[in-house]
Amino acid sequence: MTPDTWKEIKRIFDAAVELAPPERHVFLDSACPDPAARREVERMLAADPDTSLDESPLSHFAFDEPSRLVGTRAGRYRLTGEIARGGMGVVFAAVRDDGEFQQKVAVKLIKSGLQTETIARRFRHERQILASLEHPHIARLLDGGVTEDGLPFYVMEFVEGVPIDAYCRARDLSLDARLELFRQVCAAVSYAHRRLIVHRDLKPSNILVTDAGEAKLLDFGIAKVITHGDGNGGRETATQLGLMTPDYASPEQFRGEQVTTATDVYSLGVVLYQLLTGELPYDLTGLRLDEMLRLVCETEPPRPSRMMTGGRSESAGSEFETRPLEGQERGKRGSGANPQSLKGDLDNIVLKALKKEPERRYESVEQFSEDVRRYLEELPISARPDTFSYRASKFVKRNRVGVLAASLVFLALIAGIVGTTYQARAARRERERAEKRFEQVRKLANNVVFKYHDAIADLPGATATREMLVKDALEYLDNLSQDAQDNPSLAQELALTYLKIGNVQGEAYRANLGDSAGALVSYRKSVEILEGLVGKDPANVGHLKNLRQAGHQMALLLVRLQRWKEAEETGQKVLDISRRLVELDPNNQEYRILLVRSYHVKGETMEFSGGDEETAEWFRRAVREGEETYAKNPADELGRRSLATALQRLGTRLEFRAEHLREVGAPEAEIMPLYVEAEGLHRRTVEMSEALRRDFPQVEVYSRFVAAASINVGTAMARVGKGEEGKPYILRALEILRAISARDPKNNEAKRDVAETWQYMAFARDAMGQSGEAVKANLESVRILEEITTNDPSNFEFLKQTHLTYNKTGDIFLKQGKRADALAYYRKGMAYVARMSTLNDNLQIAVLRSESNRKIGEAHLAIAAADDGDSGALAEARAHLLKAQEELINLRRRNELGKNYEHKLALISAELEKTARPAVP
Amino acid sequence: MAEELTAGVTGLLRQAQRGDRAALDELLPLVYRELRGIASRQLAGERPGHTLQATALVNEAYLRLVDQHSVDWRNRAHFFSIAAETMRRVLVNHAISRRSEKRGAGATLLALDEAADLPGRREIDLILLDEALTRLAELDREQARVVEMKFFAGLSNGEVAEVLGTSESSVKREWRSAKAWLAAQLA
Repeated sequence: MTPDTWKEIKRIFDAAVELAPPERHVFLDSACPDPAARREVERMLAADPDTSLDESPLSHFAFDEPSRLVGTRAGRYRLTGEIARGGMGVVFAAVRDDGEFQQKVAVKLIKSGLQTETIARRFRHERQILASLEHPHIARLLDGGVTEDGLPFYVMEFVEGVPIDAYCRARDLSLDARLELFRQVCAAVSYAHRRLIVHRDLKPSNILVTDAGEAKLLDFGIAKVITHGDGNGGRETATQLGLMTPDYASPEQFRGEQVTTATDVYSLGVVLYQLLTGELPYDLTGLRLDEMLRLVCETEPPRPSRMMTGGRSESAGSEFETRPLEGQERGKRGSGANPQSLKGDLDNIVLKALKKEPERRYESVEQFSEDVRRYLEELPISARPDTFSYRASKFVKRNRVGVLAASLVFLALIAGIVGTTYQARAARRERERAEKRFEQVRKLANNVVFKYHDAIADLPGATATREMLVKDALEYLDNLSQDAQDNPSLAQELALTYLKIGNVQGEAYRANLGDSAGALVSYRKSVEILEGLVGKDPANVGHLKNLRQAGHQMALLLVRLQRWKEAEETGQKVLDISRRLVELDPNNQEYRILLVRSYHVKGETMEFSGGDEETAEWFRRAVREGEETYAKNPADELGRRSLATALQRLGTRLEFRAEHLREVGAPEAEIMPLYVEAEGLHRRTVEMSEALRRDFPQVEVYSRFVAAASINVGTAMARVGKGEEGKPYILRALEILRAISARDPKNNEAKRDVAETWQYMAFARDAMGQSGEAVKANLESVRILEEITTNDPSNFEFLKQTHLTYNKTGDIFLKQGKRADALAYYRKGMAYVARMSTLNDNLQIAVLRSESNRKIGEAHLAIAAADDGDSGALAEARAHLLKAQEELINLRRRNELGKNYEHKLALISAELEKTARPAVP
Repeated sequence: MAEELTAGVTGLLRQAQRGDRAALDELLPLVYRELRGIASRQLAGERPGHTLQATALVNEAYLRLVDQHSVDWRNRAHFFSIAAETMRRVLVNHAISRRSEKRGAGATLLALDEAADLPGRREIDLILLDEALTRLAELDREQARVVEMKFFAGLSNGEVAEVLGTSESSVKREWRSAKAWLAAQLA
């Protein structure tokens, strides 16, 4: 768009908004020939928040002063007095005036956005059909036409009566009497529906009740005549509604969608709601059209019973209402309705008629009426409350459109559950019912946290919603856990739910909430509950297994948080439980595999106090246990998988150890055997993985096993100077992982795998002395990583990987003597630390930042050295190295620095020494 | 607030209003600093979904910075028109930083009141709004200013007209089409 076209669009828009909505498109036809501009104007008109109902209907002078019309004629009828006026026009009492016979009738002069001729034509078209409606509860249509003043009108049987709501109020009808009266209305509507006539504008003022207590429906089918057609899209909505009473309009009418018999079901639902509670389901007073639309189309009305007790403020949550209405309570209902009697069945009946989706309402008015009858006769009704799953899936669906709007709906839903929980407490004496509530809330927490969390997890902007979701779910769980003491199965559910919530909060390798502290709290609660259960029932292997699992997750999280003491304790507990399980049933394959995994956990938790050596020792035990298990049952898939994993982990650990030894300058004689052993372990892992892949080709993870193991072999060989031999292994991994990624192009993790493989390739090339190739491989990796971090800017792991790759590229440049390039790449790496620190501010970042500073410092040192002690570079080097040192010292002071970082401090100190040397003249 | 500063700002405001460009340049950083201070105090305790009243913020800044006795309402309007752009920057920056924060990494919701009869009184994604407003400015600078002043500083049509030297009805017209366009963009 250019400023000029915008000016033109504005001009057209300004003119169009002054017109009534129905006139706008006629105007646009002539004023706006350019289709693109027209689309823009129409979008703006549709979005225009100021288009309110007051502005839309045409006002005709006649309607400003209806009394002026008394005494004038409409066709053969003389108007004798005004009866009522409404959105559609003014109703007059009239008598037939042509000498035939004196019949009192009602004449309605129509106010419509449509042109008179259109109405007249449509009316002629529909008249026959409408006149054919002959039913004791339908006011007959007698005639219609256009007055001499050019106003369309129609003539109906005159009904001496008052609107149904006023009638009920005035006579203070009992609940049963109201329902009976309502069924009369249903009968009439149902009759018309069988003749394929939809009322479209059912509301109390169209439902009169005579002195004799007979209901009479007015204006059947008229709405269709005097409004735009249906189903033609949003443009007509305003008109359609402008002439009607929005209070009773269905969501499809608000949206300008197809009007069907289900539309009448909805409006009848509103009428019934009002008859029962005296209130409308939605308070639309003072709202603009767009606000009404949102309210009616997107929010649930309060249950009628709730409306009577608390009013609107306590809305929502309706779906969890069970049917507490007991026989004796129903017997009690006397005059009018009391909230108790509305609870349960009547709530469900009304809410079913008020469903947003036409297809979820009663299929027919007859069915609706039938449910009312069944209620009156105390029979079971057909309407059921929504299931939670339904609501939540609806929520998720809306989420796909806009998380922002949906989060509010979700909170409303949550508020409802809180209410329900509270009610559950109040009804504690009814133990059975209370337990049912538990069941519901448990399901809720499960669904919320697992099903829906996962469904929205990948949506942009969903994090805030997910966070609220988790917070609320936790609140219920905390409430519940007080009541779970004497209910072991509930306690167990709770523990597992806490565990899963913990995963959601802190899981490392997904777009998680990154709330490690919160995750820890949840894990701890889970462990606590499970320990209680185990204490009461020590031989229960189910509880033991759950406790082991919870401890396992918690231990790994503690390691990540570098809370070593607790981590060690928890790791030991996990190991103890697994050993106990194996003792209880030594031949149980599953327990043996759990023991293997527990050795891994134990190893991870020992890294701080035991260092690489002891850690590796635990992984060695895992392999031994894995070998034994495998030997006992060589065909078992899980046993094979478990051993393959153990082999790989030990291999990797040995490499860590070797790497560390190399960094601290240990003799090669000590280092080499570790690499050689690692290579052997990795080769074995490749073999086992290939076999698994062959035997279970449909399991993708085995392909990844092969790839990972191949990479390990390739890099291990590169380390011991057999890079050329190792290269095909890495190429093989690349091939497998690229194929996986190609099958799922949107999967960032799969892309990351490919990027990572390029880094291993770079490593191998570098080790082979092919630094040019190494740089190329690294840049390929970076290219993919940049793409991923753009797709998913808040994924910590992706950012970290990018950071590390830039650093590695810098390392290679530095070795090549390309100092300026090295510096540039280290700085890029540092930029990613900055990006990470906006997501998270934990120890890991401090370590990474220190590392980046050290590398930048080193690059400056190299520059200074090459430039005969360039004092500027030396100062830069010193500043960065000091920062690097400070960060590590701070960590050490807080006792949060892992053993492996001590030598880094020494390294930094040594480098600082160099910067302190006076510049060579 | 030091009296000295208040007097200074008030004087600068008067000069700026008379078209003194230098005075305006001096004024802007003062307003920005003050607004940011107030905003960050208020936003510090902000939870997701917390309601933030842009207009109230600007008003607070005005009360702190300007000597109420020696300026008339035109000065107020002028101050607010200056503050509007600043406010937009403060809020959008905040929204962006919040978006990337560890917790609450969703888009910042901002419920606006008074001035904010923008699309359906629902929460606006500020960052999207800011982007849309930038696009609008490319089409019509002055119209974007109208939105800024009304939305971010809560000026009335009359005040905006005064600042821009145009008529109230023209502001009303521009505001309506801008709102409709923005609403369509944000829908």
